[in-house]
Amino acid sequence: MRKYIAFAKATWQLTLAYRGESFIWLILEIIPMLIFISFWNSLLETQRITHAQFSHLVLYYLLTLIVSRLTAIHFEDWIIEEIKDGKISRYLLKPFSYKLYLLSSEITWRVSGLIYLLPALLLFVPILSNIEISAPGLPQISGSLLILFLAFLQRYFLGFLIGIAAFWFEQSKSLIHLKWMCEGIFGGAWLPLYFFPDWLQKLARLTPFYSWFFYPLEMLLKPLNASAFVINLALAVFWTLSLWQLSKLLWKKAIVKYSAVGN
Amino acid sequence: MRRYIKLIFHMISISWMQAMEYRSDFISWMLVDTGWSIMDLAFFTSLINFTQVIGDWNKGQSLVVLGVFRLLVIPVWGWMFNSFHLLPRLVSEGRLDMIITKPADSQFLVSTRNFSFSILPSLVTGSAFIWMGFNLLGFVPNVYQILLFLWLTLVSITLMYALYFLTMTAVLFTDRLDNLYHIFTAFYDSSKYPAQIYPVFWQHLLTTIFPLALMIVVPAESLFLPVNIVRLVQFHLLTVVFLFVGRRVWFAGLRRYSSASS
Repeated sequence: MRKYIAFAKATWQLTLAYRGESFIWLILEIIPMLIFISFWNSLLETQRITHAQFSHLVLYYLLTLIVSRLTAIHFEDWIIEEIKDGKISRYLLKPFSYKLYLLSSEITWRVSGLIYLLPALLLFVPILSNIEISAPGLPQISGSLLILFLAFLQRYFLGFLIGIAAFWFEQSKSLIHLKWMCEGIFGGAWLPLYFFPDWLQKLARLTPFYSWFFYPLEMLLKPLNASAFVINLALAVFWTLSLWQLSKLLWKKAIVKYSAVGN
Repeated sequence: MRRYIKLIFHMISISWMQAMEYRSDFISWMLVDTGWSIMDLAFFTSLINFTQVIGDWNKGQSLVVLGVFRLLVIPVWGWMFNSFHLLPRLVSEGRLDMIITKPADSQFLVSTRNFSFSILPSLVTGSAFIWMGFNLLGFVPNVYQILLFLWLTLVSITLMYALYFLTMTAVLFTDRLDNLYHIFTAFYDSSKYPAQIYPVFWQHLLTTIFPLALMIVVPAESLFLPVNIVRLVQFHLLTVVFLFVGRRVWFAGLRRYSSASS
């Protein structure tokens, strides 16, 4: 455990050294959200949506930003480069788990992300003062946090799987785009799922992406439905375990297959 | 001038050879590009089915704008992104020396490093969206509108280049900003919405100091709305101004640049 804390500390120093880059990641997440809030506001002003709908949508996008900062995984590109250049050898030869090393540094990046996010949220105070908020109860908050924790693990395992796909395919970076498309459409990262046709909503419920954004946010914004929660929790656990097992299996196969020269 | 035209053709042919060397990679990225077009269409149609309008645009007009957006993805991702994403690393690793010491214009060399052809499906999907949009609108643009659109598209590409390049010059004034090249593409994604959705202050800002709201909208609207002369003049002037400013800032940055080997 101590070595992973040491990795986390080293990553923390990196996050402080490269604050400019962290700030840019934050801007990149804020831009689409600001556009959508402006868009909903323009619809409110022309009375195409009600104030209650506007409040719901603004909160949805604000929470999407927070969830994205807390649970997003960005290491796929980096793993792919390390594998292609043969630099991953240096991690395989040392006495620590590569997967836990990635997990410890990713958690550190998430925590550091909060440092930039919290002051940025002040920007939204004027908007928040103009919307109807019904505070969620403790069961809603704890249920949502549980789903988000599972979502983080799913994103971590899926990111890892996409990264190690580079052991087999040259074009594994294209899988990152596929993941973005799926989280946008099935996860509700671009639009709440109720904007899409029924068949797509039903399909989305069966995918892991459903618990990445839409479901935990809807839990916070709507009254808790206990039976739906149990079903979605079971699905989230199923996906987490499946992705975990798959990543274990493929990682074993990958390191048997891997060879590099000069590292 | 002829030397630069020859150089650009060399760069394009090298990029093409690279693409053909890794054909499966090329095909998978073409599929990704097609996927993004489908996602854009799904997103826009779902949105407009709910709201009926986006700013002042109806469904047909929105589809035309989306089509133009997809067409202009080709220069943004196929050319500018591919060339500019290398720049932060070149600067932070001190490898920019290899470019600025060559006997050609440094701005030209960093701007034409690499091209991608896997973005070409957007030509088909973008044209298809425009056709679908006009089908809904129930008319086709006349020859004059098409010629004006082609000219404004060219100016728009120049403006996008100028803005993207100006953003990238920031790497010469900072220690490390390896993800800087994403900033412009994020703004580009947002430029497919009409300026009317923003508060008045932002509308002024996004059509003057940061003319992001003009990049897609001006050429696209020329296909289905009457020409706004004031806006056209402003569009051309801003393009020239940003080209000029980008070049000045680039050379100012180069004067500050140093590396262990330079």
